[in-house]
Amino acid sequence: MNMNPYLPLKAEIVDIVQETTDSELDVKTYALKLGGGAKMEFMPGQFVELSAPGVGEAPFGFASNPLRNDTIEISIKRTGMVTDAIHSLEIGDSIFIRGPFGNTFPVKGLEGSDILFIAGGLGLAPLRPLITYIFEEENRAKYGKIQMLIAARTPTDFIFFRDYAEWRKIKDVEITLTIDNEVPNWAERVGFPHNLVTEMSFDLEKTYAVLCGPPIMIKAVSQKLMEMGMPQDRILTTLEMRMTCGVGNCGKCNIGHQYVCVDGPVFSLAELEGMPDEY
Amino acid sequence: MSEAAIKLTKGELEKMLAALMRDRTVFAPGSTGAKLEYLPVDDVSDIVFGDELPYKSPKDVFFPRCEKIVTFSENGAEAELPETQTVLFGARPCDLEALDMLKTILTQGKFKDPFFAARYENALIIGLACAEKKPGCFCDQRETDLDYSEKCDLFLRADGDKFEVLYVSDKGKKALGAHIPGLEQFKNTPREFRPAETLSLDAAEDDLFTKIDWEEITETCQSCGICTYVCPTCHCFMFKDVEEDDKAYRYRNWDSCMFPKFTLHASGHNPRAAKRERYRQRVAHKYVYIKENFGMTACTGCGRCIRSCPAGMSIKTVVEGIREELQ
Amino acid sequence: MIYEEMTKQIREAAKRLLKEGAVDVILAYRGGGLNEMQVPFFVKKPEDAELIEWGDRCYQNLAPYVHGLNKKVGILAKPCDVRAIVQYITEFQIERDKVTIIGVDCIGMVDENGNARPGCSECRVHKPPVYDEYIRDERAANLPAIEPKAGETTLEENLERFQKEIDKCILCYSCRQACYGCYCKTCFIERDMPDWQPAEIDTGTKITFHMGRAMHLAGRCVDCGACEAACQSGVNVRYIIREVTKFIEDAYGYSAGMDAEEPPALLTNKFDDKEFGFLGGERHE
Repeated sequence: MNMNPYLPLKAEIVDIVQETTDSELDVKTYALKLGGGAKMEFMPGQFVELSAPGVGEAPFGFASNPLRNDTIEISIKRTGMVTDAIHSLEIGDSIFIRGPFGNTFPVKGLEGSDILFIAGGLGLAPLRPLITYIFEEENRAKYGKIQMLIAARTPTDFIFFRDYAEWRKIKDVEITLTIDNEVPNWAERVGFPHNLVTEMSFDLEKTYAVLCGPPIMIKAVSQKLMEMGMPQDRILTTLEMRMTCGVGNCGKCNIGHQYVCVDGPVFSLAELEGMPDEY
Repeated sequence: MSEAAIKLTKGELEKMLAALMRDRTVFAPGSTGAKLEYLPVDDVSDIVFGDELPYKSPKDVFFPRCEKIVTFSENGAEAELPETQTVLFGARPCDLEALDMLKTILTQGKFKDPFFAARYENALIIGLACAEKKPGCFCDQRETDLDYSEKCDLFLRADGDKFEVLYVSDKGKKALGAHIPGLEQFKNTPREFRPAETLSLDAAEDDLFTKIDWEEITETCQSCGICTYVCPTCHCFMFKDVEEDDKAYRYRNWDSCMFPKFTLHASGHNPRAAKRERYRQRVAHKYVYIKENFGMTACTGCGRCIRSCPAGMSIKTVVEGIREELQ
Repeated sequence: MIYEEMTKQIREAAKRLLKEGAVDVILAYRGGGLNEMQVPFFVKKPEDAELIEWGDRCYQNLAPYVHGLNKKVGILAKPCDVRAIVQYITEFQIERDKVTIIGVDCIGMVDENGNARPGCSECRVHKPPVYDEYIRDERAANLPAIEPKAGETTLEENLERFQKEIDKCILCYSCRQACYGCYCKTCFIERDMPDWQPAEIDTGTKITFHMGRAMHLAGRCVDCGACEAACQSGVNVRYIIREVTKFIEDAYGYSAGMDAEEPPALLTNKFDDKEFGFLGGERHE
C-alpha cells in the first residue's frame, strides 16, 4: 500500500475478454499488469478503485485468483461514464488503479466447511477470487464440498463461462446453471435461484452460503436459506455502494457507523441484521 | 493550561503577524465586502480584529473547497503534497476543537489523508478566545470552553486594548520568540470552565432509524446543504476528473450529504434518496457514528449551521428533541 | 399591533380551513427562530393554528414547500410567495384547485437590525395578485411606488460588479435550493453529459452556474430575494436576474406570477413578439 491512499498506480491492460455474448456485449473482463513489475497483494472479497483518467473513478471487486497476481482481472459492466470510458480502451492502453481496499471473505474461517456459492449475473465476479483460491491445489483439501448455483438472465449473460468446464473437473464440485426463462437448446436449469436453492441438498451443520448478485436476489435467496434453517452468521454476501475514497473518509458508503469500503464489503447476514436499513 | 504568557498591544501583535507573513501565508478573519471569512491576508491592516465569528469555519485552510490531488500523465500518476507554510490566526475554541477532531478522523484511522496531514503539519495555529456567545452558539453544551483551547500553538485572549498570549506548544513559543523579544511577561491564572449540561446522544443506532420521525423534523429543510459548508467538522468529499491538454487531473471538492446525488448509485438506486434520510445522516454522523468510531461527538456547538439555515432549523433543537423522544 | 391583529385573522382562517377539511396542511410561520426570526411551520391540526405568527420577520418564501407536496395544501403567502405559486400553476407544476392561498399584504420584511431584507427594499408588489383568503394590511396601500432598479448601468459596469460578487461565491448552490423556480430534478450544472461543471471552483465555473441560472429564470423570477437571503457568503447576483426580468418586461410586457391565467412569456410564441437580439439584432416594433 503506498503512503498516499488517493494516489493510483499505473497499469497496462494486457488482455480483454468479452464475457456476455448478447447484442449489448456489456460485460468485459480486463487483465491488468502493474507498471514496473509490481504486484498488488490482495485477498478474496477486496476491491479496487479504477480510474479512466480525465473521466473519473469507480470501485470494482477483484475477479481473479489472489494467488496468481502477476496480472489481476476485473470484470466491468458498461453502465456509466467511467465504465463507458474503460470499455473504449484497448489492449496496451493504460489504466490507473488504487487499492486493495475493504475486508475479505473469512478464508480461514471457511476451512473445513462445505460452501454453497450462489451468484446472479455479474455477481459471480467478486466470488471468483474465493472460488479460485479454494480450487488451488494447495488449498482444495482444506475445504469440503463446493456447490455453485450460477444464475443469468439468458444463456448469453453468463460470465466466466470458460471456467465452468474446468471447475466441474475438480473433485467434489457441483455446478448448477440457471436462466430466467426457457429458451431452445438450453440443457441446464430454468428458474430463479431462490426457487432452485430449496432443491439443493447441503449439510446445514457444516455449510456456508456465499451470495452475490442483484440486491433483490440476495434478499430472496437469504430469506429462503434462513427458512431452510441456515444460521444467519453462515450466510455471507458482499455489498456495493457509491464510493469516492475507499478509505472511510468521503462519507458516502456508510450504513450506520460502518463503512462498506473499510468494514465491508463482505458482511454476514447476521451482521447486516444488526445494521440499519440504509443500503 | 499554560501558565507562561505575555501581553501584547494590538500594535505589537500586528508586528508579530507581519513578521510571520514574511515566510508564511497568513489566514485571518477578513472581510469579503459582505461577510467575515478566514482569508489569506498579506497586509495586517486587512485583518479584522473583534469578537465577530466568521460565517464559515476555517477548515478550508486545511481541507480546501477544491484541491488538485492527482496529475495523470504518460509517466503515471503523481501527487504534490502542499508545502506552503501557513498561519491560521484567530481560530476560535470551537473551530480548534473541530480541527483536532478532523485531524483524528482524517489522519488517525486506518488510512492517513496526506493532504490534510501536510497542511496541518505546515501550519502555526493561533487561537483566539470568544468574549461572548453569539446567537445560536451552544459551545458550553458541547464541552467547548469559549475562553480557552489547547488544540493550537498559541492562544490569545483580548484584554482591554491588549492581548494575552498563552504559549501552548513549543512550536508556538518558538514562532513567537523568534519575532518579538523582551515583552511584558505575566503569569496566567487558569480560569475554571463550567460547562453547561452536555448535549449528546447515547441512542442506539437502530432507534434513530425506527423511533424518530425524521419526516416531521425535516419538513422545512430545503436540502440546501449550507449547514455542511459552514460546519467546522463536515468533511465529505467527491472527486472530479478533467482533461486539459495532454494531461488529466483529479480534483477533490467538498461534497454534501444533503444532496440527493451524494449517494446515488450508477444503477439508479439511492440509499438516502429522501431528505429525511439525508438529514438523519448528518445528525447521526456527528452525534452517533463518529462517537462509535472515534469516541467523540463531532459537533462543537459553534452554531454556524443554525445561523446559516434559511429555514431556521437548529441541530441543537433537533438533538434535544431526539433525546426527549428516546428517553 | 397591526401584526397581532393580522395574526389573529390568519389563525382564524387557518383553523377554519383545517376544520372544514379544505386543506390537509397549511404552510405558515411561527416564532422561535434566531434573532426573533419567524420560521416556516407546517400546521396540520386546527389547534396548532394558534401557534401561527405573522410579523416583519417572515422572510422565507414558502412556495417551494408546495412543489412536490402531494397534499391539499393551504399557504400563508406574501405577494412574492403568491407570485411563485402562480408561476407553478402557469408552469403546470401544481393545480390551482389543490392549493388554497391565504394572501397577505406585505410592507416588507426586516432583519435583526431593522434593515430591509433582500428583495424587500425594491419590492413593487405589496398586495397578493391572487388569493382565496385575504388578509389586509392598511399600510400596504400607501407605500411609495418604486421604479425597478435595472437597465441603468452599462454592460461594463454590470460585468465588473458581477465579477466582484461571484468572487465571494463558494458554489454551495444554496441559492438554487432556496429558489422557488429551481425545481429541475437534475440541475444543468450537475449534468454529466455534457459536463457543465468543471472540476475547479474557479471564476469560469461560477459564471457558468450563475449566468445559466439567470437565463433559466428569465421571465420567471418573482423577486422574492430568497436566493440572496440564503447566501451565507453575501453574494448578490439578483441584480443580473433583474436585468433579465426587465428585458422580458420590455419585450413581452410580461411580469411573472401576476395572473394564473396568463401563460409565461417564454412558453408562448406570437407573431408580433419582439425577438430583438435573437433574430440578428434588429428590433421590430
